[in-house]
Amino acid sequence: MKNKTTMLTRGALLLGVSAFLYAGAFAQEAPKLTDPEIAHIAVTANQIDVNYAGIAKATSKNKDVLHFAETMERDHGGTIKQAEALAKKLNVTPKDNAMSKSLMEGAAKETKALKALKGAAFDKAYIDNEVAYHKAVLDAIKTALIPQTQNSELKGLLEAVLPVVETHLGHAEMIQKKFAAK
Amino acid sequence: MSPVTVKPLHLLALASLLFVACGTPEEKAPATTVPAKPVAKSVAVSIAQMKFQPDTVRIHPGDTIVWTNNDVVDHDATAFPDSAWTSGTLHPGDSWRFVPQASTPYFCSIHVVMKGAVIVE
Repeated sequence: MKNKTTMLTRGALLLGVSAFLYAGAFAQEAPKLTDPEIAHIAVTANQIDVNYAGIAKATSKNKDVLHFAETMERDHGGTIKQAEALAKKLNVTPKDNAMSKSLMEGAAKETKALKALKGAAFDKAYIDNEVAYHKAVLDAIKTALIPQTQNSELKGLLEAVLPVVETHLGHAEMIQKKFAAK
Repeated sequence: MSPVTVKPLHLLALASLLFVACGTPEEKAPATTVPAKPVAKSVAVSIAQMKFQPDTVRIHPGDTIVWTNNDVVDHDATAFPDSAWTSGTLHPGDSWRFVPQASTPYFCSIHVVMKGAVIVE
């Protein structure tokens, strides 16, 4: 019981950490971004969520969590392929930048925290993190990435991905409410 | 010229032919009042921006619905809640034709918050 309480407390702390990390990673006083940098951020943000899904699939036994993780892996994995194909077509090499690095650093901390959890505590922390992450990504796409993208095809892909991220957020919030009602 | 003889049997045959060809007014009426059988039609549902568009489709028995995935991610159309029918995975650009036999809500089993309905009138 004590162990379970400790795990849940860790999970709650994780949510606070997640929100802080993502707010910090994306809200960097609207840095000037080039299209190669935006392409790199898009691929990085998708890859981070694919990685989280991999942890969930290896750790969780909850069917809602597993189904959500499979959807994240499928959708974000597909988006990475489309972004890479578009970058190749446009002859753009995604370029590492401060926002991508910040995202990776945040993801490393989050991954470590998630891997320390099991059972219901993991499920709650994973879903809470997905809610926070998708909110932050959504905000970044709307306020930083789309407005600064110069190439119309890259901008089009980001605009097409927006409702996907919104739907993921709705899906994660639905599971979050289900957990809260238990 | 020999006279034409009309036997009673011939008259009966002639009367029968006229009866079949013309019919009676009472027999003609049903042929014109039977309602024409509705022609089965095809209705398109586009899957785009994470929505079924339109989300509710009203059809008649025998009509076909064609779902087309115009989105950037995979989707499906699956009867809810019993999964009595499903399109299977529709990759971007894929289409699926189906003739629903009964009204039912449906959803995307990949993105469970995406919902639609088929109403067979």
